[in-house]
Amino acid sequence: MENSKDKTVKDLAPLRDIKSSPELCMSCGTCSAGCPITGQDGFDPRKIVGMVIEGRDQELVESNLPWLCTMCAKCEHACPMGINITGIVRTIRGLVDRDKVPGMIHKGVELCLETGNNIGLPSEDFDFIIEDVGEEVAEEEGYEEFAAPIDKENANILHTLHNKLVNTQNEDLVHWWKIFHAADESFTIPSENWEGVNWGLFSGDDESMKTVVGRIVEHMEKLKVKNLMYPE
Amino acid sequence: MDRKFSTLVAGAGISGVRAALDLAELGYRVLLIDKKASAGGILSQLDYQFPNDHCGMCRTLPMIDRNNGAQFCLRKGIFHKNITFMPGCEIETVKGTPGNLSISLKRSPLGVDPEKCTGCLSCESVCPVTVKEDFNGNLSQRKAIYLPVPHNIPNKRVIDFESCTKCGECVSECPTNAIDITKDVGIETIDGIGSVILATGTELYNPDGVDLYNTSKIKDVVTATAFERIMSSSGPYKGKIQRPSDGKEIKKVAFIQCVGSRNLMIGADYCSSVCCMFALKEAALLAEKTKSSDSAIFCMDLRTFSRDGERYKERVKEKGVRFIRSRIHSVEKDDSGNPSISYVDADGKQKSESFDLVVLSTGKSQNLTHPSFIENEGVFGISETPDFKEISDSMINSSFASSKAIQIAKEYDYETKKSSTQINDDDPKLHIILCSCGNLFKENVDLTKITEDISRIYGIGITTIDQACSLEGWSELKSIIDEKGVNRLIIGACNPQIFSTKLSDNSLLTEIITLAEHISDTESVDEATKSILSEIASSIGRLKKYTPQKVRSMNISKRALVLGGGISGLSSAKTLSDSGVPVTIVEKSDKLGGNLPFISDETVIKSIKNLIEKVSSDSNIDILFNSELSSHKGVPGKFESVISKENTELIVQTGSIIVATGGGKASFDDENERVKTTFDLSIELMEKKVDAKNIVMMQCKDSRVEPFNYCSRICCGKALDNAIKIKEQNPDAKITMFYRDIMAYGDIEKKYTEARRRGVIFKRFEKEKYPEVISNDNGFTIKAFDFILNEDIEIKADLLVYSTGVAPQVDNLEKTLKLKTTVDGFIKEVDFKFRPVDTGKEGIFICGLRRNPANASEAEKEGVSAAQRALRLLNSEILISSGQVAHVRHSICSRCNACVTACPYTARFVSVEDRKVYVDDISCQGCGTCASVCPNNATIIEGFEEKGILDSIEAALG
Repeated sequence: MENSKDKTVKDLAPLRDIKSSPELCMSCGTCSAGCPITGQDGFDPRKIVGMVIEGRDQELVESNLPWLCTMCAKCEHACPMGINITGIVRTIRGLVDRDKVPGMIHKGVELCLETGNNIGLPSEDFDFIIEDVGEEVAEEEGYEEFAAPIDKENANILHTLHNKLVNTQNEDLVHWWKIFHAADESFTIPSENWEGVNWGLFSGDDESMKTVVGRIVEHMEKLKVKNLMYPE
Repeated sequence: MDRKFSTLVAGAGISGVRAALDLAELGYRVLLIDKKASAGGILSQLDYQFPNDHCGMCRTLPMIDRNNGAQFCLRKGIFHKNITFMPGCEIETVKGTPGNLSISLKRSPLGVDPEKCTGCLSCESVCPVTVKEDFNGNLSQRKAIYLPVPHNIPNKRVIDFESCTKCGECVSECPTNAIDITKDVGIETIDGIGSVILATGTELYNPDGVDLYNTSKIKDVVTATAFERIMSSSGPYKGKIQRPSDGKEIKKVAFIQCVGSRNLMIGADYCSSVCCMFALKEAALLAEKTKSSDSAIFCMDLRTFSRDGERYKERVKEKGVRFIRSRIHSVEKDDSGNPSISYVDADGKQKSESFDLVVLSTGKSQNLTHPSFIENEGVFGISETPDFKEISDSMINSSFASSKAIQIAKEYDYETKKSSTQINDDDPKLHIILCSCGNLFKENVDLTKITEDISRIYGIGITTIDQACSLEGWSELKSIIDEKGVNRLIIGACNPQIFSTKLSDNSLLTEIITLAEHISDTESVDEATKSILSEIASSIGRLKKYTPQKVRSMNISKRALVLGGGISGLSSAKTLSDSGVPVTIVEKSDKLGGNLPFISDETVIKSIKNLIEKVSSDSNIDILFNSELSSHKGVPGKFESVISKENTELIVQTGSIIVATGGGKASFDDENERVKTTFDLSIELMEKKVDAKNIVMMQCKDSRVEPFNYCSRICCGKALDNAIKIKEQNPDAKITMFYRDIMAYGDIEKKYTEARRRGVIFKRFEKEKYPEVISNDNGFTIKAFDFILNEDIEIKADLLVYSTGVAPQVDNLEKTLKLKTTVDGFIKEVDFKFRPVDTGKEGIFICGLRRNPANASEAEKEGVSAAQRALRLLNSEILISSGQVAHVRHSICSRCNACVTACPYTARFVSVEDRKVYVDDISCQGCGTCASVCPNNATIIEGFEEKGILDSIEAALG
């Protein structure tokens, strides 16, 4: 890749409050000393920053290094120069061709953009599951009046969902809703674009991430909901 | 108006003490204050210093007329008759003009009247409040009424009102009514002060509360100061090197560098300058004391930038201490409860290792500023900001500040109080005064038996006084002396220092016996009594036989010889001339300014040019160009130097000599016009742009390796300046700097940060593997190993810049003046830390590049500091030797010269005229080394004549 000034990682990666450009790195090793995976398949956060400074973006983009990082941010918590190391890693990920993004995360992003959730669950299936789980809650003593609220205006909380809770782990939804009910909390679930997991964060896909966040903002404005909650 | 004090020195750490002594030695009276309850500052907590791993603080004390100091150990406190020390004080405001400043002091009560306190400890035993003892790095506990520094004398208690509950238990328990807990903080105004020296130092960074270091959860993580206390015999474990958590012996320590320094996230864009040497010293001490060798220093750069630092580091490495280039992320606890840390090794592999103890090398605290009154005229700061400095730098900066205070004291005609020792040589009339120290000695010693025995055996009278240290006791003591016409006195009391200060104006010959030691060292009243009797007898023996020393005095030549007209020489000459001392400058070349042509900082150039102009037009300063010193003789105060100038010789008589012959760029030759030195490039950059696109800078060229195994200190800063300038001119220029350790000490760190921010690439190399340079038609290819990317690299360059370092002048002065040099040819000072500009020869001082690598402003300050030291001599009308000096019995001296070589003060010399060995009274410190090496008993130390000493030994053996 050509290192034109407006496209390199060090220009694209966001900075922290102290204008912490990657160049400030003094290769002190704090990040490498603290990183839980230094040495795994050649991973070393200090090395990544060093390569970024020298503009060796293409090597990084083509390697598996950016995908080894767990994004735990232990490195940058202690970095004396405040370098946004996870921001750098995300930026590199964003430069990788989408068909080379490992695993299913880019697939998920695409499905989300298309269907409103990462697993492409059709809306009739979603409606059925929500209604069914709601009924399950209402069967229990003391929860007889419960019904899962969908697209309710003026609720206190907008409740987005992890696709896993809808798909395979319904029992977690039961727990959450029982808590809400017992606390007399007013909440609502959007009928479409309900996905709470934004995989663009992991694949470095800012545009998609923005679209997904935008949908949630839209829900909140339309339904006049004050708070957002993502129960996992 | 009261114009008692010419100067107020705020802060009684080593810097403040140095400044106060500078003034006091010239006879000016100084008010020394400290916000703490005791003097000594950070150094009171430290027992050992680089480079000899001893203390050496006493070397700060006056060497001439040393009786005025009335003390031998500076760690015990500061006692000088021209210095008044006020603890618990801070400056609130400064008003007025130089020569007449009005200063209001905030005075915190100490709770205990030092005149009344006998140090009996009864208050501590009843105090119900227990807090952590900060003096011991919070590793031990103390009461709210306590001894601030355990080795201080007199050992008076103070109250820590922050933790005191004012229960009043101690007040009623105190046998001498010394305690008052009712007083509040008061404001006191002192008028008529000439100037103020601000020597308040800095605070240390506090790592508590930083989650990474876990100090609250892991007990075995301590600061460097706390570790120093652990190793101290007066520390929390009485010198047993054990760790806080379980008392296990400490063998293996991890030192974590840059804690609180070089960290933009906490606003610390600076290097604290001293922590690397501090860690090296502690690692060396530990290795020696515990015979262990597995400690590790975790660092980025190891900043050993002081002259002898590099070699010291290598000695520490030989002891088995590892230096690991990895800044540490955090400290955790392993399964056995040991502190454990992860790091990356030289191959980039992550490792985890457990240690007995983790030491955090904490630097200075961030965001500290001087109080606003620093802006007042007549207020001089030791440093521009509250700073952490290596001791010798502190000493030099202090004397730089005190020289300004002395100018004011002189200008406004403050009274000077010189010594006026009269020695009584009447027939001996002895008397003994014993202080019963409240009930302490009455209960633990048989005073009646002592009195009876002494008067029966020796016929000498004894008086017992209840509290000789109290006002009442003191006047009783004085009236006894007057009444009985006593001229030789023995005092037995708890602490000797307080009496020697009070008695120093007296013509009495005095011996002081520390009674408390006899009690603590023995187990019964009988034993203690016997032990005291034997010491009294021994003192009687000495005092009876003592021949009072006639004080020798000599007139001194009121002129100074400054060798070298470079930066340090010029500032020396100017300071001396401003104090009214005529100066002769001897300059080898035909112009002044020394290394001025190699300086690229406009402000510095301007100030040097200004200095040259002032010196050239000063009628008090003679300048001899194209001249050199060819020979030299004489004693301090009266040196005779032969100067050769263009085939003629002239003789100059001076009281003192300042060696400032400097040095310059280390020699380096390369014909290639695309190869430059850092120095040459810096000059070039003043005038024109550098058109090279790929620039490689190579640090430590033929430097920090044998035979030039020292850091030149100034190259890294200059190279960084160059890199920033090139980037300013041409942001697209690619600059790579190969370095071993970036020596960006203090605020030079900001330049390092700036250079990186501008995109300069830094690559570290190892001492053993200097990057390989291959020349070709288009320039150069530099081959090296990249430790971060873990691969071989090749970098192309069209301009190659070497940092070649500096070297001292080759002038043979060490032979002509008989001075000592380092292996690298720098002239050695007598004590690197505490007397950095004094040579071993009294009256001869050393400054600038001839002593050590230094930048222009450091050299300038050294010059002033050397002049300052010379003024003690040159400002006196006469020189008085101290009572105890050596002399030679020529009749039995075999002239083997063993004593001349052995004398640590170069006070002995062989006369050119009669080949006999003589002692220079002024330089002699009465240490006795000569007497111990003399094979013929031809050396006598006055006051320690054989007869008196043998009598006293016999008495001691009882």
